[in-house]
Amino acid sequence: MDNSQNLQTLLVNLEQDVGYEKIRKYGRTYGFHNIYFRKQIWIKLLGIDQQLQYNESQKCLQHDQLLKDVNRSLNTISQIKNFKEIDQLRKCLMEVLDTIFSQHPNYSYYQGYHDVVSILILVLGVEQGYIAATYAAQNFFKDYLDQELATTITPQYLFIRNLLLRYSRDNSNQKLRQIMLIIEHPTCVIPWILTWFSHSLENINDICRIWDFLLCSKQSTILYVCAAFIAIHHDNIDVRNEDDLIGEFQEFFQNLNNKDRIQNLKLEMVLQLARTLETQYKFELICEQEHIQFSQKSIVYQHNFKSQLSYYYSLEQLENSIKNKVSRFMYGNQDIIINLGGIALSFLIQYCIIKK
Amino acid sequence: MSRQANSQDYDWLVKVIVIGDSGVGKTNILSQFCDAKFSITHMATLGVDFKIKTIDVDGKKLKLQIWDTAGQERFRNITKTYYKGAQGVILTYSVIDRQSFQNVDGWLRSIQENTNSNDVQLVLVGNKADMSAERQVTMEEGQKLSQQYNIPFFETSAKSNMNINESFHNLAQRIISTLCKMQANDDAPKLNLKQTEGKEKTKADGCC
Repeated sequence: MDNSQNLQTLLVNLEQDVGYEKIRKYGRTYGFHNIYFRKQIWIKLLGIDQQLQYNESQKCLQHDQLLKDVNRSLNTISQIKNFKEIDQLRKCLMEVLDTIFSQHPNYSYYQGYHDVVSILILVLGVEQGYIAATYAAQNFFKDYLDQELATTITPQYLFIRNLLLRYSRDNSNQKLRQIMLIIEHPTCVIPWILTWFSHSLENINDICRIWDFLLCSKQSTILYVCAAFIAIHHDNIDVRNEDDLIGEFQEFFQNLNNKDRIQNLKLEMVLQLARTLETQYKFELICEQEHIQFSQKSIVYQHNFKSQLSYYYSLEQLENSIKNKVSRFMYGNQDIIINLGGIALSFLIQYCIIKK
Repeated sequence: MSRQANSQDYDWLVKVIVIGDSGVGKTNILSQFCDAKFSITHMATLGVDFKIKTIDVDGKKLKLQIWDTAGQERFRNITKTYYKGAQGVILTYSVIDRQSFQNVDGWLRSIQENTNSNDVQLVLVGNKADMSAERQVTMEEGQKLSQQYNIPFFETSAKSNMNINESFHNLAQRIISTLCKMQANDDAPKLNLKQTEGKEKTKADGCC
């Protein structure tokens, strides 16, 4: 079966609200390929279970700020180069944002949320994009819209730094370790976290692939993707001059579209490493050991995250299954296993010789 | 942060931050100064961006590490961490946005609260001066405000590259002058000690 047939089969199950586990596994491993599939699957993964009336509203209180940001948005997406198209999309984006923030005055707009809504409109269309953006605001991006930004962002980049310090130590990656010991505040990840990379990448297919992955994952997965991105690409950073390292690090990662610096995003490698990091370095454990604290209301804690809870429980069950536990044990103790295997083999050879 | 280099490609290494309301043209000012580029497609800055530029001032090579900060109020507590250790500030408003001019007072308070303001040099910049039809703030108002706070003032246009280099050079000259004064106030052994301390502190502080 090719990818389309596979996805079609999975979609049939999804129509009946079953088969989430399979579709999420597929989304993490392969992604959903094109807009046709994404349109149907993202709606489900965002947890949309009702139709919201889309009526264009009056200007919201944050209209002026929205206008400034919308008027300089969308033109970095490589697939949209027609000015007329950009103009029309901006008009739609402005209307959707005005509607969301006038209907939810408790949300405080942050620069970057307009990038999130842009992607949803581009993939799902205006009306579905509006519903999806409202659901995304209530679930995935809730922290940033209803909490103080520094309070919610700072622990996230501290987590990423600690994760990379552990990973570089365990893998004897001296260069990465040296970088992360100096970079105490990896603030280049802020737009990655706030917009799920939609502010930082120009190819919508790359953005959507990351979104496929994140919509099929846990709330904290974005932090593992950020860490994996740094781990995969850090090799090109010039660490010779320590005075310049903080600036060099920021400059390198603040513009991911600079082909002189990053020729190939190596996205599948990044996502593969994110999966590995997620398995090896548990979110709660690092937070506890490094005293990284999020707000009690934060959606990084699963009990505060409402979307698709049933799936999350099944994901946890899957992670704790015996098969996975065995493979994790073998991965973590591969040196011992190889040694034991060697000893057993030498005994076997000796036994054969004696028997002969 | 300021450091006198030995056998490197610069004489002084200094930190400058660019602050001001959202949409006043901070990123374009920096692009014009560092890369001689102006773009109508610049997206909003989320958090901070960084650029580097080495300039000659009075025969000295000054390496500027410039941090471009997000203007939206919601990012204020994140960007404030970058004030620490800054020796120069480009405080920007837009001449076509009266509110951004009225908010200059607030930005100045923020500098006072988060820096050692005696050692920090400022330049007040009224950007987008090429857009005369949409002007909401006169040059006289800008001058009056700058005199009130005793800060050098430039009306600039990142689009037409008007007064961009002048603003940065004015700032750079005053930073060097402050650094030289600080150097002269210290005797030689003290100076050496201070510079070593500075280097170690930068490492420990990490970000800024």
